[in-house]
This record gives sequence, structure tokens and C-alpha cells, in this order.
Amino acid sequence: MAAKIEIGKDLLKRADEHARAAGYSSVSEFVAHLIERELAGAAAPAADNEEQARKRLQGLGYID
Amino acid sequence: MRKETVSGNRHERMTRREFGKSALTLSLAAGLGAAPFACARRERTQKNKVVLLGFDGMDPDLLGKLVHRGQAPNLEKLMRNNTVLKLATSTPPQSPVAWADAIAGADPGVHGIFDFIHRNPETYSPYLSTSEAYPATKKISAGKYRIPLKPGGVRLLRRGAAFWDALEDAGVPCTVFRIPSNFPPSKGRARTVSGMGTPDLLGGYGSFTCFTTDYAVNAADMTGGQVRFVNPAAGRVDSSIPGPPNEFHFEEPPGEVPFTVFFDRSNPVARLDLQGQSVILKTGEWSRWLSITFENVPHLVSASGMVRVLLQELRPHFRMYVSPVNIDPRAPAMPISTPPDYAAQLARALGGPFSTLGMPEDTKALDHGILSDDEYRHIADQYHQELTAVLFHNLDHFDGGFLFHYFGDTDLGSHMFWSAFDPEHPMHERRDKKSRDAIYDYYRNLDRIAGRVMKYLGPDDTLMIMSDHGFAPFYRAVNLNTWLKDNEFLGLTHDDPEAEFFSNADWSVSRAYAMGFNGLYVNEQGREGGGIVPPGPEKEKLLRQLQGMLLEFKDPETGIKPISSVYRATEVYSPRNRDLAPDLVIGYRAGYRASDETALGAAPLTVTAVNERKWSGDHCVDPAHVPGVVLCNKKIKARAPGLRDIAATMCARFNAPPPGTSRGKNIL
Repeated sequence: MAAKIEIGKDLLKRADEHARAAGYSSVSEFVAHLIERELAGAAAPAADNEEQARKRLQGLGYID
Repeated sequence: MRKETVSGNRHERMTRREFGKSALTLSLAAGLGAAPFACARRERTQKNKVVLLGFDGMDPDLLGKLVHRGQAPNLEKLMRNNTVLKLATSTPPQSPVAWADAIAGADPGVHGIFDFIHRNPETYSPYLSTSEAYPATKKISAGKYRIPLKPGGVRLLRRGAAFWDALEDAGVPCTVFRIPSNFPPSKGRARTVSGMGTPDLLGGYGSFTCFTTDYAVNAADMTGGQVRFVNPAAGRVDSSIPGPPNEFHFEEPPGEVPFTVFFDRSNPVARLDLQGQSVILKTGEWSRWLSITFENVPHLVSASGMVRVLLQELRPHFRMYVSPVNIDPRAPAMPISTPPDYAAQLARALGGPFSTLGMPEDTKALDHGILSDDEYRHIADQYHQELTAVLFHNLDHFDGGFLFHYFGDTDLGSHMFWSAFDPEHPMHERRDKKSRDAIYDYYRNLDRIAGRVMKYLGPDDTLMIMSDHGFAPFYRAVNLNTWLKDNEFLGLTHDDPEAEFFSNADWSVSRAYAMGFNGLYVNEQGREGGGIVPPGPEKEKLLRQLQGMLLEFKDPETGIKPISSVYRATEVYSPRNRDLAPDLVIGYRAGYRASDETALGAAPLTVTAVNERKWSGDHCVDPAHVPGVVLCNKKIKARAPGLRDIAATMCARFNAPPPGTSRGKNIL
């Protein structure tokens, strides 16, 4: 469910300009993306696992 | 076994906290004079029934041909409502991407899934795009065991909200069964069971075991499973089923569950004893689900799984197939449902467990000849029946709201039996003639299911059937990294067709590389660990050069241009998660697909190769060639509907706002 957050007018204006320039549909989407990206950073894949990737694709059948 | 009902009534599922919130909302609404609206809305959402069936990989052309033969009467009825049949697929048209498009109502730039596998730009290493396992931390030692204080787990990498969350927010009860790209299931109030992407107990996407005395079985090249050679003695075979490594033990030994098979002296019959269960099997007979438990810490920690066993042969050779160890829905070792006990409730209500592996049909065993066409089709049909039973159980108790149910039959059937069906496929003559109509059998099965579902719905209810993509033949494979090497975009320290994950790449002279089934990346300075191409005009020039050359590239064996479109990430993806995206998405012409080696970052010696596998149909091609289907008992008003419209359409059936990031339109 959507919730409101407070942000200064100047910052909002700058964010709005940047969001438009970058192709976001709204400043809300831009802000949500920034927050998601920060949170995702903490949860980025911990370790690359080449063997796991290969086995999973083999398990799906897409590769031999 | 006593059966119980898993009710779909939202009131019965309401928690004490939700009840408190609901009561507060009602009293506030009454104070504002809005009670009639609130009551009317709940009344509407309770009665309105919307059923969405996902028929993975159903192709509009194949469906059209079957309808023309008069062999899909129920789907034909739905087709008569509308002139539109095709549903635009995702870019690229890979199932995890496509279903995520439908779930989010948005492109991969929003939900963050661009391919089966992504790469870490720092290291050029792959990782799975849909979920990630993380290890346990803070362990304490107890003898030879180490007990985690903070257990490990698995997290969903799909980003953004699912449309059923928006429906639940609007008070619509939702049940979502086995939708792909939802493992582990996203948290929320909907009742969900995860589908494609759900691993077996070993953590992979399905690993079978074949026990045999026949040394002619090629065990060395086996992938997707393993062969164990056994030595019968005194009319019995003793061996064990492999399980996951025991992470609670310092040495992490592989789990093993022992079993014994006793041979009948004169009949083709044997008895299998497995952890207190005893089953008699004739040769050619499948067992029911058999429970197996891997004990990690005696009397304290164990993991429950289940297998089905096929006794294939007793004499002159012994041969027995054991399915991948499915997570047991009655005691899931990993999160496979919301609420967490929903899968167990369903299993109890159905009187037994159901397959939980994301793709339970064992295509690897068929591909390697461990299962014959008939054996594969028999067990695939058994899995189909289990999952069909779930659908009709849910419909029997469906009071209103949203219900999604997924079938993978048409997808895997088309992958595995295309060469049997298509006389132009190079492997056609090698296939069993009995399997030539197998693909259409899967379509006919789903047609019958559609007919049964229609009987549950009234004239005001909605039934929509959709597929995530269509299908194309897979005749020849493109070694895209070899093409990049031959054209001096990728530098290698030495030629080694076996070298995977760019272990022989010289990044100091490489400008581009390919990984996954449709992705091509620029080796960008400041982004890739050894990047050399500066972002900006130089990268832009390179992308244009690559686009032009790839479209002109000809298969030296056939003279055909294997690539029909090359898509720019900046043109097809919104910016949110574009940092994960390939710079170019390769759209292969029907008949071609990226090779296995391309997906794994290898460069074999030849630029193309014939596809000799039974996996002979595919959809990882140009999205323009493989649209899905959309059928509905209501009028489809949109002229060019697409997967991204599904979220907004489902929400509109209940007057609910779609997720904030949804970009699709209501097509009805």
C-alpha cells in the first residue's frame, strides 16, 4: 500500500528534473528505485557460484 | 486418509490483527457516513470470481492448427469471443523474465530479471537471476556438529510488487498456485505455492539417480543426475539415494539414505525397502511418493524429501530410476508457500503430497536416455494429474476472488518432442514415431481442463487463459562468443573449447562478451572489472557496430542469417534496474538459439553447430517470433495485448489499483 514521505521542496524539484531526464514515469518511482537499490545492495548475491549456475541450467534442461 | 478442506473464505483466514484493523476501518467509515460503500465493496469482491490459467509455452500457431482440426473445442469457444489471440511476450522471451513481466505489469527494468542468469560485472561470473541462497551465520560447535544460531535461507531477487498484493490490499482473496519467478514466494497475505525456480532438496533444479548393473550406461558424461553402478548379491541390491551435504557437520559429508531391493526369484517383481517403507514393484511400474529423511543432527535436525521410483529392469541387468528429491509439501525444508503451512494444508486436503520441484518433469533423464519417451510421458502425466487435482480442489472451495493456476505441460512437451513432431528437424528420424503427436496431446489435455474450469464459472465470472511465450524449432546453436572472438571483439589467451566462464579471456583486449541465452555485454570501463570501453560516444559507436554486424552474420553451414533483431537495453528497458541488463538483447531467428557454451561464457571452435539433443524446441529467440496466447470469456478490447497488461487487467476486474510500478493497461 502506498505511503507518504516528507522531502524538501528544493530536493523534490531536483529529483523531479532528474527523474524526467532519466526516463522514470514519476518522481515516486525514482525515489522508490533509490531506496530499493540501497536495500538490494545489502542483499546483493553473496558469492558467485559458477557451478551452481551451470547445475541449475542443466537442471532446467536448457543446457546439457 | 481423512481429507480436510483448505477454505478460500477470507473471513476464516483473517488474523486477530487483521480483524482489529478491519473493525476499526468499519467504525471510522460508519462515522463518516461511508458504511454503505464499504459494505458494497466487500460484497462485490466476495462474489466476483476471476480465474487466470497459465499454460506455459502455448503457441498461437500450434493452437490454431489444433482448433482447425477440431481437437480443442473448449479453447475454440474462448477464441470465438475475440479476434485477438496473440499476447506479446517479454524481451527476451525466457520464462522467468516473461512471468515476472506479468507479475509486475512492467518490463525487466522494473522487476530486475533479464535472463535466467545474470553476471557480476566485477568478476564476469554468473549468478541465478531469480533467487539467492545465503548461508547460516553465528554457529556454535557441539562435538562434530556446528549449530547455526542464525539459519541460512533463500531470498527472491525479483523486485517490485506482485499484482496479487495490490488485490489483497483491496480486500480480494487471492490464491496463486505455482506461478514462475516466485521462489521463495514473496511475502504477503495471498495463499501461494511457488513454481518454476523451486529447487529439489539438493538445491538444484532436479537431479535424478539411476542405479544399474549395466556398465554400458555412459555415466561419465551424465549431467542433471548421476548413475550409480551396483552389484547384486544373494538376490538383493544395497545402495543409497544421494542427498544434500550435511552443513551441520564439520566435514559436510553428503547425505545418503540407504535402501535395499529384493528380487523375486522367478517373476519380474522386486521389493524396495526404504526407511521403513516397503513397496512391491513390477518392472515398468512407478512407486507412489516415498518419504525420505536426511538426518543432519541425530534427533534434532533433519530434512524431509520425497521421491518416486521406477523399476525399469531386473534381468539381465538391474536398472532403477529415482526421481529428484522433491521438497515434501507436508514438511517443507525450504519456504514454498504463503502462509508457510499452506502447502501442508493442501497436501492434507488432497490426501497426499504433490510434486513441488519447479519443473518436476525430468527432461534431463529423457535427454540422456535414462527414461524412454514412454516412461517420461507416463510420469509427466502423473505429475500433471496431481497438479490438476489441486486446481479442482481450489475451484471446489472458491467463493470468490482471484485464482491463478499454472501448467507447464505445453512448454516442456514442446521442448522435448519438437524433433519428433517436426520433419525438418535434423534429429526427426531418430525419434520414436509414437511421440510424433505428443505436443498436441499436451494441448488436448489442457483443452479438457479449460472445459472443466468453464463449468465452475457463471456468466459474470472471468476466465482468462494466457501463455508467457510461444515456441520455435531449435535446429542449430550459435556460439556467440566464438563469433565475437572471430571478429576481434573478444580476446582469448588461448583457444580452449572447454574453458567456461571466460577463464581464458584476455579482458585487456576484449570489448564485448556474451553470457546467458540472449545477453551481450560491453566490457565497459568503470563497470566491468577489466573494462576497456569508455561509456559515452565510444560505447555507443561499438553498440552500433555490433548491431549492424550481428544482423549481417551468416551461418557458414546454411547461409542463413541466425539473428533477426538486436535490441538495445536503453530502448527496451526502463532505467530502474538497467544496471543488471545486457547492453544488447539478441533476437534469434526461429530455428536458432544461443548454444549451451554461450550461456556459460565459453567459445567453442565453430561459430554454429547442429542441435542433436532431444531438447529440440525452444523460445529464447526474437520475441517477435514467439508471442504467447490470450483467451478470455470476455471481450478483449486491446488490439495488441501484452504480458505486461495482465497485472492491470486482473486488478481492473476488482476495481483495484494495480501496483504503483505497473505500466500495463486493462485489456478488457
